[in-house]
Amino acid sequence: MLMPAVLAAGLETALRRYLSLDPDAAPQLAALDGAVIAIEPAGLGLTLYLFPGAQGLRVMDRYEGEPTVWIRGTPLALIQQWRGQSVGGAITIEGDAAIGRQFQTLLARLDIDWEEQFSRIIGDVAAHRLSQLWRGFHKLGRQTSATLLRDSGESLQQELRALPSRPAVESFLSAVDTLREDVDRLEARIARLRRLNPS
Amino acid sequence: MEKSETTHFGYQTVAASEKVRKVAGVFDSVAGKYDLMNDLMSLGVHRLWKRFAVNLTGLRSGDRALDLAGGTGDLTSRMLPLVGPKGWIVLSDINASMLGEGRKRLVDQGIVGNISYVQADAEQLPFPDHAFHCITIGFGLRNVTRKERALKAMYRALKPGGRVIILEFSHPVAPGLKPAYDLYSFAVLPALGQLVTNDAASYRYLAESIRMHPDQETLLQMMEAAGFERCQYFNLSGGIVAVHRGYKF
Repeated sequence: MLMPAVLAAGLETALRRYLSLDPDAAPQLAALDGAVIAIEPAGLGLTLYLFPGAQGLRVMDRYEGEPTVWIRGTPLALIQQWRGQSVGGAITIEGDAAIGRQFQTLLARLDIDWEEQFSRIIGDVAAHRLSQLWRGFHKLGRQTSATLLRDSGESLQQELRALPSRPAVESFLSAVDTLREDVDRLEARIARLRRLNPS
Repeated sequence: MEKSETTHFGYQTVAASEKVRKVAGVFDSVAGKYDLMNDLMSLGVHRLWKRFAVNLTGLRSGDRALDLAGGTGDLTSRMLPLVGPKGWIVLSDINASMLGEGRKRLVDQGIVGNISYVQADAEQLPFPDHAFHCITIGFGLRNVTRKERALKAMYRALKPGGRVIILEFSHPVAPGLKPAYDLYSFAVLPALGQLVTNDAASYRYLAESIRMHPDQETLLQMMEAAGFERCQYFNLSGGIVAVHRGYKF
């Protein structure tokens, strides 16, 4: 009976702590005061209601009023979107979409100064070293994944000839566009001729 | 019980007028460390109980609520987001120390504006009829001298369609829980109280008053007798705590 409450309490604590790390988050939350954001992760049979306000963020697992906005999607899609990744049509927003978008932007744009946070625990110098190390790893990781992506792309396109190259795809798509426009023009021309000469 | 001039104060029988004074003494003594003690005593679970109770309030944007015996404002601060900036919450307690502590805490959290503080006796509520969409009383009814009067006063102040939520310690129903719970209440709690607030007696009173409080079914009947309808209760943590809900139609 208490499980949804435990989940909501856990999420509230985590989000509040996370949001408190970005000094710009508080005024943005205050701007959303009075809004009720319902989040429904598909397949969990649970809806979480978020109440942003000047005092931070509250999460409840039950609300009998009408939420300002509903955000529905698979748990994975919701997490990806909060991390600022594009998920296309995997998420639906109903109600006041502007509020929903504002809230999502707030979460996605959180700018947390991890170095500052670490420095409070382990001191400035160590925190700076740690953060340099982390940035190095992060950069290396990004470079590696970009190289891997490029290499596998080249191999599929140039060597295996399994996929067309970007210029080939672009020229094909533009040919399709030209054809569609030609057909539209032809259709308009036929319609015009019919009007001029109804017999 | 109500007709006689005596009532319970824990396991003691005292004059009805004396109970108010004695309960006030308990809360004056523990007000400063109330939150810390709640966390220690319940291992933090009291937050979940309160959360569950607020879930049952059904409050929505623009509603008015009364948080009776609101103490340090835990329920109020959870209900405020539900009623939103257009709603209103009255935080009430009979004890000035607790109310002061609650106000201080809420102001420190930046919670100001649509909230009023009223020192009032739950038996004689100083509010007009049909004033609130919801009335909550969290861990407070146990300390009220004449519970029937308090329930009737709450019924009067509720709007038709409104609901009362009573969150209170109750009688464990889970098998095997009672002996462990008794040991905890009578051995551990007073020791913990002595350690943290230097006041074992107040926490002995807490344990005794929980035993003297009506059980789930009795309280349900008392609510029905006061006029509430569709009364229902939810046992939490094996019945250590129960939330009663009733509607006024």
